[in-house]
Amino acid sequence: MPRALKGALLPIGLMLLWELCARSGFIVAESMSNPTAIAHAAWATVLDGSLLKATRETFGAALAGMALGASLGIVCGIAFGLWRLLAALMRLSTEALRPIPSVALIPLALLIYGYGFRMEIAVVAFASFWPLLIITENAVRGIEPRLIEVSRALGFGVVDRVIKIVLPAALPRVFVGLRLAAAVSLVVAVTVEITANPIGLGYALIVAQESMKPDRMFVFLIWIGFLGWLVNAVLLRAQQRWFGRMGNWAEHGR
Amino acid sequence: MRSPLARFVGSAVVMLALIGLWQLGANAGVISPVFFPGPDRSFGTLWDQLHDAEFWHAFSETLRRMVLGFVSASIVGVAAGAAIGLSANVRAYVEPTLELIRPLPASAVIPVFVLMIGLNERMIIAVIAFASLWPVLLGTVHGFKTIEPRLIEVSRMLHLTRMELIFKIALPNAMPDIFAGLRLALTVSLILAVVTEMLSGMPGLGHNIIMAARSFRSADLYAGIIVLGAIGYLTNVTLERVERHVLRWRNDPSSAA
Amino acid sequence: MTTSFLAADKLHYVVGETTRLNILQDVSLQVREHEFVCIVGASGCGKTTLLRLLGGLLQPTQGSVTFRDKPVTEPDRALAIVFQDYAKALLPWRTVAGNVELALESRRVPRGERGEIIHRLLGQVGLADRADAFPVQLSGGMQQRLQIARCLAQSPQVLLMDEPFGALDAMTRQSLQDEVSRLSAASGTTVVFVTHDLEEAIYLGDRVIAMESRPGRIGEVVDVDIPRPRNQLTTREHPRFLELRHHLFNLLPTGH
Repeated sequence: MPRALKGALLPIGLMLLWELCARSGFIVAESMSNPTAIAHAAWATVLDGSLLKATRETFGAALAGMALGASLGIVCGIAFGLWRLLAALMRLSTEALRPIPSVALIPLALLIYGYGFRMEIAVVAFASFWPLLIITENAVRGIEPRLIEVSRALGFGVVDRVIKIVLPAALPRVFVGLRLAAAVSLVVAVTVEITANPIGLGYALIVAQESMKPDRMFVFLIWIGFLGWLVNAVLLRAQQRWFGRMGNWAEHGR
Repeated sequence: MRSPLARFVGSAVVMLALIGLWQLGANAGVISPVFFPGPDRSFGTLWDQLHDAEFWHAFSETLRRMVLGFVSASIVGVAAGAAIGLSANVRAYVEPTLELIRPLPASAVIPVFVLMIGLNERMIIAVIAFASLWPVLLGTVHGFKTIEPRLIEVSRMLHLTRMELIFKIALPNAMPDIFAGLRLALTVSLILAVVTEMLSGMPGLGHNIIMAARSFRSADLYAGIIVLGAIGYLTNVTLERVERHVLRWRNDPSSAA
Repeated sequence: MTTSFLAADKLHYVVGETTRLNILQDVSLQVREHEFVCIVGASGCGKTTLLRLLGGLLQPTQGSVTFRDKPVTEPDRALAIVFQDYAKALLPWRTVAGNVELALESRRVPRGERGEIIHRLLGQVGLADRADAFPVQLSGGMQQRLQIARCLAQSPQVLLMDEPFGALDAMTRQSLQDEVSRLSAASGTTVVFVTHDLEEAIYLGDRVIAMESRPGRIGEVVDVDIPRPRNQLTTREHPRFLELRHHLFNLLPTGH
């Protein structure tokens, strides 16, 4: 049996089983729904625009939060990578803040900003800051020392050095960090929406659950999973396209 | 370069300076103390909470759920991951499905569980276990499926039985990947514990901080965040210690930092 | 005639389904008990494949391998293989002693007896003081010696060595050559030693089997009638050594 067929067997089999159980009355429809109902509901959400609206909201918040958090993380990562003393002095402070789960900041963000985009962006920014800080710092540290020496010999100032040597050299690994941060941003955004924020896909999920509409709920659940996969697949493609020629050292170099 | 001790002292000084700045900022009242209590109020409230039985009840509830979910998920994850990882045939059937589930945010399954089980303790444990399962499972599968071919040949030359291959070669070989999965699962279990507590209203630290936010008790909120950060830190450090001991064969002293 | 010890009879080894690649063609050889025979050839001549066929890790497309007249269809415990990539053949999570112990475990040697055997073997390869170290802490030469010790712990009748010193520097290589020579002479273990280094083959072997490439075939078999014990300095200047070197050099492609 060809490999593709083998892989598809399990999900298709499970869906058929699910459909059967629902139709035979084995599962109570109110809580579990079934594939055909979900398919219908999916079409409905597309038609009434709720899927698109929620997707735009979640993506908007996730993107904005990531832009904020990742850029701060990259800047700090470069600073920590280039100036060991700074990194050493900040070590305790960063180690104290890093273990705080981003979800623990949801109530704080809620307190300060109330419901809406800003609060979600703040939490996402916090979450995406850390991976970029760590990865960028490591990437900058890992730059071939010879290159830094060359930049000094050429008389580059700090800004030039960063732009012309540090950033390009660190870029492949930083991109891997961005891929990671993108996944994290999406997850955190959805989590914030599920927990407290009445916008986006997470909120749509909760609303569907609270109004006892399991088919709608599963539509959003599957859509969220699909988006997560899609974002990662697209970024992976881009990574291989842009950095593939440089070899795989980006992912494995440490 | 400075000695490790000097570096530690230096970073401690910096941290205290930042806390000092925090205090100054709070005293200046630039941001309302409702949103921005100083460290004096935050740590003071934390100190009070440590003497409060209700706090400890919430603390132990959160910790209990986290550990219960994490441990049960780890056991199932390693066992199932080993079974899947060892058999190329099983992997052909199962891996694509696993790859579909991988990108799913763990918290997104909460509404499904609520609908199935209700907004109660069982739902919380089920969600935490379910969410923590995947990193362990995926990590274990990866660890078991990538065995150095040379070692397989060695095991053939030595006529090792299948059991010996699994326990003497496949399992130790998978340990680094298993631990990577466990570390991720630990983080996930804390996050899901907090989120489910916030949603369900069951007593716990997550519930505490969302209530604190809603009633504008910012000092309680800050104290709760500090506690959660401490839990995250301590559980991670513990796991890392265990990992470093189990995987001590990896460290080449000449390349140690 | 005495029964054959380790023999390959008209081996053919072909890989590929659409484009078939002839790795070995009509290879026959006899290995005598207690001898140290070297198989030398250029890279890609199939000598590693031949060694794996002898060891039972691979099955020939045609022909057969027999050990004491019994066909070798799977790895035999009497045969041990020392691989070139020693780091990958060791268990990184076990200590030096633990790695050797693995072979004893597979032989079901009682726990009480293992310590003494391990200590003796580690002493023979010069690793007695590193018994509690992990492989990652050892140098390349030491790791290879560890692999040899583990193979010896199998109590094999034949030691199959696949370019074991290829990845090591010249000085380590020389000291290990002498060690292997010494160990095999002392224990009477038969050694089949594969290498691309002609001088190494002549230095170590009682016989040298030279292989030709593409496809792999047996070229020539010569007896190395240079007296033992051999010496890195004097043997390599021995007239017979130089004669054999000249003679076999032409069989191997230039720049080998």
